Amino acid sequence: MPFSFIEIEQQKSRKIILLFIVLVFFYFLSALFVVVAFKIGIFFEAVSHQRILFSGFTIWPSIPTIVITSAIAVIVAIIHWYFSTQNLIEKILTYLNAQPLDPQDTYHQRFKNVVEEVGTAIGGKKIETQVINSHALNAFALADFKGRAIIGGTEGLLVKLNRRQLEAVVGHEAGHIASGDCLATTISTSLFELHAQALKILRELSRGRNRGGLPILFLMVVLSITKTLTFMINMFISREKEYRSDAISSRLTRDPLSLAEALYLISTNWRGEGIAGDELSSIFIMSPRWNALEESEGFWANLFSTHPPVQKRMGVMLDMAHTDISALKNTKPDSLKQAEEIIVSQENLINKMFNQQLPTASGHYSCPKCHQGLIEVLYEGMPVWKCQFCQGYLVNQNRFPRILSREVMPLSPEIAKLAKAMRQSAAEKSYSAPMVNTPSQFFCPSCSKKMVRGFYPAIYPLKLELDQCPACQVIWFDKNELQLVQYFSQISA
Amino acid sequence: MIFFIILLALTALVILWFIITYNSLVFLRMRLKNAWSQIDVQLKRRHDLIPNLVETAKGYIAHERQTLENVVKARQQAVSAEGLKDKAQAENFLTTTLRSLFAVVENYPNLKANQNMLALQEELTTTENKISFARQYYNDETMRYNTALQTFPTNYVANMFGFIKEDFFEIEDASEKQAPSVKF
Repeated sequence: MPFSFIEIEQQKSRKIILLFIVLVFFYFLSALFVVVAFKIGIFFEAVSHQRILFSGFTIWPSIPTIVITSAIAVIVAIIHWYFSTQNLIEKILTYLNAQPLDPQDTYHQRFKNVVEEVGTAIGGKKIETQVINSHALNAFALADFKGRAIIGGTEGLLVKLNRRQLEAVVGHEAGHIASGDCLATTISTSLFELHAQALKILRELSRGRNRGGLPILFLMVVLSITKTLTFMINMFISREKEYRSDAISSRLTRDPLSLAEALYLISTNWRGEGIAGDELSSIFIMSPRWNALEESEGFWANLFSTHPPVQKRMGVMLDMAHTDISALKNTKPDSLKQAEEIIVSQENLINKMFNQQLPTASGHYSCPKCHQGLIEVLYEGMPVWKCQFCQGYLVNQNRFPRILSREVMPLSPEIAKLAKAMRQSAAEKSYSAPMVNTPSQFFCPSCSKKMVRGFYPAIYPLKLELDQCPACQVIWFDKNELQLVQYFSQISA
Repeated sequence: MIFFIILLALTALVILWFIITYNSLVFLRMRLKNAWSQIDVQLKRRHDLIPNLVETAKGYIAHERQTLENVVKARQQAVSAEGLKDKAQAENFLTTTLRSLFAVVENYPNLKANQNMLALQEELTTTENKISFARQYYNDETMRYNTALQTFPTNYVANMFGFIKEDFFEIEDASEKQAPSVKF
């Protein structure tokens, strides 16, 4: 069984060589196309001007032409290859807007642990972790020539899947890394899709300045060629690899049911259509963009899609677990279940009220409102500072978007009521406050300078002003404000 | 003359086969060693975590001394255990005592909610998982190695150069191996 990395190396290099040959072949064909087109042009021009062509003129290129064309194709392919594979991983990560993990964050820590566990299962491979800040559910894997491997997940995935499901998903991604197809996928992604994306941006830029014209036509041609190439590469990256990685995952974790559950959750939730890099479908566990081709079978679907139909994937896993689709009916995000339990059990509530000693203030920050020491608490699994007296929160600006992408903690009905009232008043007044920052009445708990009061762009239409300190990167939320912001962002999503 | 050349070629072929087989066996054995070191790292990690765990739990469950003492004792045994069999036994015992400690912790909401305890529990969970994954990998590798030793014709080479069968790292977890008792 090819599970250790040494055995896979040969397979891997064979795949990479094949990929390079595809690239050379592509440039050869396009160069040939240019030559033929040029010759046809000469031919027609000669005919229309009734000039006599020199003898031996053929539209088909001669052997020396083919040799020269292929030499050019090889050189261009090498240059393209070289530039695409520089900083392979970094480039894609930047494009996906992925971030390294925050070691203080509970969920991030859990994700890191799970990835390390799976790394142990495939023989002690070191795998790095990254996270995309979005409440979509998806995961991806990247690898490069030096053996560096990365598994990343979205915030939604880290929070909404339980440990076993997360392990199954990470196992699937580790399967791609272990079986070596991850490197081929990463390279092909870098070679073509990023390329196509850059051209798209270029085209939009030039469209803005002057309409029509030769450069744009040229760019359009190049763009369509790269798109065709992506299709060719999708052919090269067969959908079989997904089945294989699913199988590896269930072999590593010995838990096919959890993988089926995870696939079910991912497929029934938002997979991330619209996030940065959602067209790089081949690196994700499931294509962020839903398309009908991917969910169907047959010759064309097999040829052009990167992932097999999710139903079939789940079916294979459920078969392995000796169960059927009914096992998935009650699958809910685990954290939601926990949240429900917290609300339901009164015993728990009483325990909390009587037994929990008030944590002492750390003395690190003091509340900008009542000047009492703030205590560090976990909010949606992230350390924030809370004032025990006015119930306000001080949140690190980097961590704030992550709070918005998590929906673990249940929001109280009062918040919903308050939010409704706010929305109504906003609709009635319908004034548009300018989006300018005004000086706040509070002083920053960290640097004691005056804070700035302004709107948070993500929820702008609703007028909720927040106090922030641009220098220290912290935001102060009055009582209920944090929950309100969360509520609005969940409603709008 | 031709006969001589054929003989020479055959001898060369046999020698080549010997070399390849021997090397592949060495290769398998090295990988087994690597797999074992993976387990060892994780076991050490667990041993290091336990004093912290006991220290945190002490303040809350002082009157459950027996459980805590058992954990400490089991840890000492596990640290000083030598050889695969002993080690496996000691680690299994440690796992059992830890499990009973966590069962006790469940009854103390204060301790359960303790930040330090939560972090330790996550840390121990991941270490336990890593141990079981590393063990899984080790056992897979052992199976491969042992199969290679016993299959024909590799077994001749193995016997000649003194490759010996390795033991599996087995679990004797009472809760896992017992048949479920049925009551009517």
